[in-house]
Amino acid sequence: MAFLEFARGLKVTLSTMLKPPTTIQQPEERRVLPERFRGKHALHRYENNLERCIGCFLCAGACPAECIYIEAAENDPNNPVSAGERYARIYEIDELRCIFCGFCEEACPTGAITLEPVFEMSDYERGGMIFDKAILLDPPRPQAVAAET
Amino acid sequence: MAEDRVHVTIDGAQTEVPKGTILWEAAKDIGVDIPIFCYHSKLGPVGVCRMCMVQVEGMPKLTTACTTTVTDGMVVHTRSPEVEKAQRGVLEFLLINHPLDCPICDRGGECPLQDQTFQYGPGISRFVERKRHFVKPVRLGPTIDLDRERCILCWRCVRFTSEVAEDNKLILVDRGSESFIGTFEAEPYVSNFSGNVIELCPVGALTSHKQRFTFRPWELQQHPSICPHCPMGCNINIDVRDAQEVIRFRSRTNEAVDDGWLCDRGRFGYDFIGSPDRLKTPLIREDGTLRPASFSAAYRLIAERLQRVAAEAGPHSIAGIASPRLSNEDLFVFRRFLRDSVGSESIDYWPRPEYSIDSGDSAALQTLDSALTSIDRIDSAALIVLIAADPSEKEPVMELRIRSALNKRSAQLVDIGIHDVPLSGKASAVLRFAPDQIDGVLRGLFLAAAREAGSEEFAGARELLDGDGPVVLLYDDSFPDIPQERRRDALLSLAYMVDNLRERRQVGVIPLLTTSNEMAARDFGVMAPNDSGSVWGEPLVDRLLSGDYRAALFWGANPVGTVAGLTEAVEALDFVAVSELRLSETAGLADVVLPASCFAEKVGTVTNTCRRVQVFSEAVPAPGMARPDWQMLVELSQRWDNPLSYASPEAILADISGSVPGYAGRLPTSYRRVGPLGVAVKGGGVEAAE
Repeated sequence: MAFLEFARGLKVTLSTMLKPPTTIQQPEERRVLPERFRGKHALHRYENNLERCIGCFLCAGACPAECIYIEAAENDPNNPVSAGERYARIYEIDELRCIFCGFCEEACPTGAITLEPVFEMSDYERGGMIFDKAILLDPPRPQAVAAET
Repeated sequence: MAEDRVHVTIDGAQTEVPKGTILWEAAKDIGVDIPIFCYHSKLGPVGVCRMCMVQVEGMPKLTTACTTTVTDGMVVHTRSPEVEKAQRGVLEFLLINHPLDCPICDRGGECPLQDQTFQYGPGISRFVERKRHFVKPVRLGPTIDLDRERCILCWRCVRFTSEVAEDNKLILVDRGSESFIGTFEAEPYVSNFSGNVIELCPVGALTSHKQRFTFRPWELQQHPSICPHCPMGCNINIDVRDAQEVIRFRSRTNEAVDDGWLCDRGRFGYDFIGSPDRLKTPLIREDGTLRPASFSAAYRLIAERLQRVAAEAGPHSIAGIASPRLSNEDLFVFRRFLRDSVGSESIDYWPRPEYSIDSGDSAALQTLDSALTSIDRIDSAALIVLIAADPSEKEPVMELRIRSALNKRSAQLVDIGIHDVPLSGKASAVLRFAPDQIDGVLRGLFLAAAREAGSEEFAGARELLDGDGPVVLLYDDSFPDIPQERRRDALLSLAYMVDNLRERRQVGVIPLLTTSNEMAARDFGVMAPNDSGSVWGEPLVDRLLSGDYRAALFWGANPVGTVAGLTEAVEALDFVAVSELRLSETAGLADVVLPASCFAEKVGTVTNTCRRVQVFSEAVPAPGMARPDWQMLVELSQRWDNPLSYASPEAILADISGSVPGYAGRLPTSYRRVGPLGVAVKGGGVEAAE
């Protein structure tokens, strides 16, 4: 009986031995991520480089992990940060606490926040994993379109 | 009885209501929700928003529930297909020009327009044309921002300023579809009551300038509390974010006190709670400067030094001055600490009326005390008399209650005082006199000789006082406009007036005190005793100036800086201990400073100016090591032979309820039983104005 068990186990070993390996040589080799992969967050801008985020707190309200911290402020009408009256003065996501559910993206009324197919996030300190606007926000476009948003 | 009541059937449910009830109120009483924007129970019907359409059997068309009074046998449907169609239509029209910028609107999340659109609205809009645009936001005044695009023209704010505050500051400019809310000639909206329109506005058109973009309503937890800024004791909710930060105060309706309103001093006066200069640790003076220390070191030093002073000069050379901002529990324990542990009778509060009453005059105090009435008695008064008092300055919401009584219940107002106050314009008779004549004027009103010799003004006031019906007298017993040496006479002549009036009419008095818990300070004996041992002796602060004391405890009180010459007197003392929220002028002179928690950081009760005891609850944690005053006093008392042993504020409440005259037997022994609206312990209600 014991021999039969042994043969059954060996059969699995031998059949797997002949298959090509599942592991890939990350980072030299890259896997194609699913289209709707939810990774690192990004904050976007309009064509005219104004921030889409209006600091409405809806993402923070929807977040089940409570990892989004926002402080809103009023735009200077002559030098606006975002389209409209209000913008996010501080926008921080604790990526260690985030569960990448995508509720923030779903809640956002302006399409400001999306989850990008980026999963390589690491740091030597926990503090470094709290991403602020400097990390999250898209860089401004070199040629801004001065269009109405 | 039967003819005063009518029967009505609303959505199949039968109810019986008093004649003249508005249909919307009748429906609300039995739990039928009819959507409204323009109607408000305190403002009365106007019928401009058309949201409260209902179907009344026998009427050819739909009718508005807010302008229809109930008649006997009325059958009403609030959810019929016709009604639902009308509601969808009204909402579609209201949203035509509404910008739907809910994500950045401060009202978003607690907005009646948002809620009712979800509940009754069409879900889509057929309006494809360009919406109406305005410059936004418009700063109406120091407190209010107006967004005209969001406004649905319900007129609530306009009606508030014209009917309740009666300052007519907000108006409807232009006509029809062109109309918008504004102020006259762009004059700023400056009012004692401007904050109320934020709560009244059913959309986000009127929002707070101070709180603009600082919070979202769903982040806030609310804690029922009592406004700490005047002795009226208006009920508030403290809205807190993350159990840390006080975001705003909102009114909490208590018909017996505030009638649902809140003044701007109360609504916007919360910055001190989270202020960065709050004391976080005890401070002990070393080499001339105050340095952080532990509680045990601070207590040890206080006990050592006070016991040395007591041994050398007797315990009565230790003066205790409390602030009437403290809670009932704090004041009661302060009194017990000084009397039972330290053994000193030298106790007072500050600020207090700057005069004293002899034992021979205590009958006058008893007269005034026995006539003390509750705030809601103003509503049923036939005559309201102001005696050298300005409710608008001392207790602003009292002004609204008086205006409401004058407008809705045809009461009359007599203003007897030195100068005009905001309410003078509403007075049927005004009696002005020179500051030092108050005694003669109040007594003269009841003398036949003075009546004949008196002026026309005098006769007018006298005639009203001679009438029938209940009278409520409001007075300010600190008499700020009257020379100091005449204030005692003013109080005595006031008592004389009450005595004379009482022979013919029901009389109730309401003192307009200065600080939030002043009534309790007097009731608990935290006031310098006079020669007969009852309160109202010479202010202790005056005696400090003459150098009668060796050591002093200032518990929240900060007389240094307001009383001339006190700095030198306090510096000359052997030892000074202070409990404070911040490093006040007095605390700056102290040897030991203890960090106290404020009203939002502890549980307790306060007694309002009409002796209504109300509970406030803990909303945010105290900064650093700050503790409630009662707790510090109990801990401190352990170093004396007669320590106090209270484990919780509720134990103190039970002791107050068992031992303080007037409170005994009337004040419940637990906060739960005092309840969210408080209890009147003495003088409140009918018994006072017999």
